[in-house]
Amino acid sequence: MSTVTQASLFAGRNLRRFFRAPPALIYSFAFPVLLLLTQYAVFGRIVGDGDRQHYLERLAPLVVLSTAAFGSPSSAVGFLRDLTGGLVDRLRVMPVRPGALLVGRLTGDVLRIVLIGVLTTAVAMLLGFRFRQGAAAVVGFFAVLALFGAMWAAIALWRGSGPGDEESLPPSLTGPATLLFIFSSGFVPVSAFPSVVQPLVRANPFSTATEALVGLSSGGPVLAPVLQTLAWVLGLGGVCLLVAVRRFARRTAR
Amino acid sequence: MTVASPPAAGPARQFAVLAARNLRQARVGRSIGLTVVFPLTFFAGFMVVFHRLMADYGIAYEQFLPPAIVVQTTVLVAMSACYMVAGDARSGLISRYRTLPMGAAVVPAARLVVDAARAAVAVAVILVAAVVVGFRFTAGAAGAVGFVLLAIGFAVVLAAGCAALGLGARDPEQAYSALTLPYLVLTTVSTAFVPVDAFPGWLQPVVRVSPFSAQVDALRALSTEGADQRVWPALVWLLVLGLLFGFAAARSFRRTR
Repeated sequence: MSTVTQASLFAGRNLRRFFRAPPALIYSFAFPVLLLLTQYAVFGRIVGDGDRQHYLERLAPLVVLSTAAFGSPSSAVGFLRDLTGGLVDRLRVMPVRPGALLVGRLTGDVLRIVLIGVLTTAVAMLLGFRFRQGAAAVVGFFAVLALFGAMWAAIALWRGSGPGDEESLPPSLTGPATLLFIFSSGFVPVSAFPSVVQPLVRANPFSTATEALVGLSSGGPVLAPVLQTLAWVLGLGGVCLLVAVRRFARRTAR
Repeated sequence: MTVASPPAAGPARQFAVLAARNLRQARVGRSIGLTVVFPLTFFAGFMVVFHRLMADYGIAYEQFLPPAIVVQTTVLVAMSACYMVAGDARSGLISRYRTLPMGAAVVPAARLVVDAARAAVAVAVILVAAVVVGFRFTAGAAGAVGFVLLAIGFAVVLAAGCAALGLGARDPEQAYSALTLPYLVLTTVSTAFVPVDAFPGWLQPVVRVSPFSAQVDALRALSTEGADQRVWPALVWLLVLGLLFGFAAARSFRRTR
């Protein structure tokens, strides 16, 4: 069996596990939808300067992206359970390439994130969110989401393979994710922040990815924010993945 | 052969032992991070993000936001009680308690008194941070005392409801994450973060009747003008929810195997 087949088997396993746990499933879909609806209702008037649709153009991309970040705790715990629950030990006596599990996790996570992202986008469209840049831009929109999702999947692999237990892992990811969400240009415009923190807000991966998605839906600059997001994905995501691969290799070599 | 049984501990001693155990449980778990660090971070973040926008809207956010953060904190204290109670129910500790010669009220009392103490600490930390950024009690000491008591009362009432849920839950993680969605909706669809006129018109009646709006508005009244008619809705909600959740908690406690 080729590595690709093995990896797709693991990706399928992760997706099936995701769909077969109804409480977690409902939560995964309901959370971004409720986040979108509540933030739209609560801050639309004040942040959009009286125009809720104007706020929605930026909020919807941000919430779509947040599905990647807020799904990472359960993904990290899932990987931790693979490592400590005997799955990896079992695989060592089978003709399976160890890397297939990692690739499968990464792919499964990205597919799940894009799926939830599509649903959240559909709800945003019911509120009035629109793609105005053509079909290619729609593909680009979800491609950027997939890239951003790959970064958070790599972060989850890094956290799940590292020190920490099932209780300490989730807050260590949701805390920073919440802060990045709030301090992003999708939540409120950069100009509303104190000038000292504005450079940080601009550099926030949530901001760069939001700007890219805004450009690909409502319109605006695309190339620069996409390249900035790519730098985050390759830089941060790459380092996390390398560390995770090394830890994983050490475990499977024993 | 008979073994002399040690003298039975009185209810006060039983309570002290259980309360001390619950405090230790709260200290080693994630509850400090969740009930103190998270609200403080959230407070700082919201001050930075919304201070300028709210000033443009005519609201001094350093006076407007702290009561909302206090309510958010008391909700988080109650939610962590759910997590801890669910853990105790699953590990069999609650069942073990039932086999012991203890008064029926000792276990719930030790739970709620410790939750009140945790709420008091968390509220105190938030208030110190709030005063640092410019929050003031302009209605004097009586208003401040009323503010703290109302906040703790709300935490205890919600903790009773969360404990009822936790006793019936099979998995602490699941019980806790089941609470995060109502938490998100109820805290945001209220006057906590923006005034009622910032909501879409059709949603404003919902915002007005929310118990969270009542609580936040009462705390705002107690910190500015003092006890006025804005405190009554909060007290009514406290009574109604207290009866409802108290009944629910007593019922699930009796049913726990």
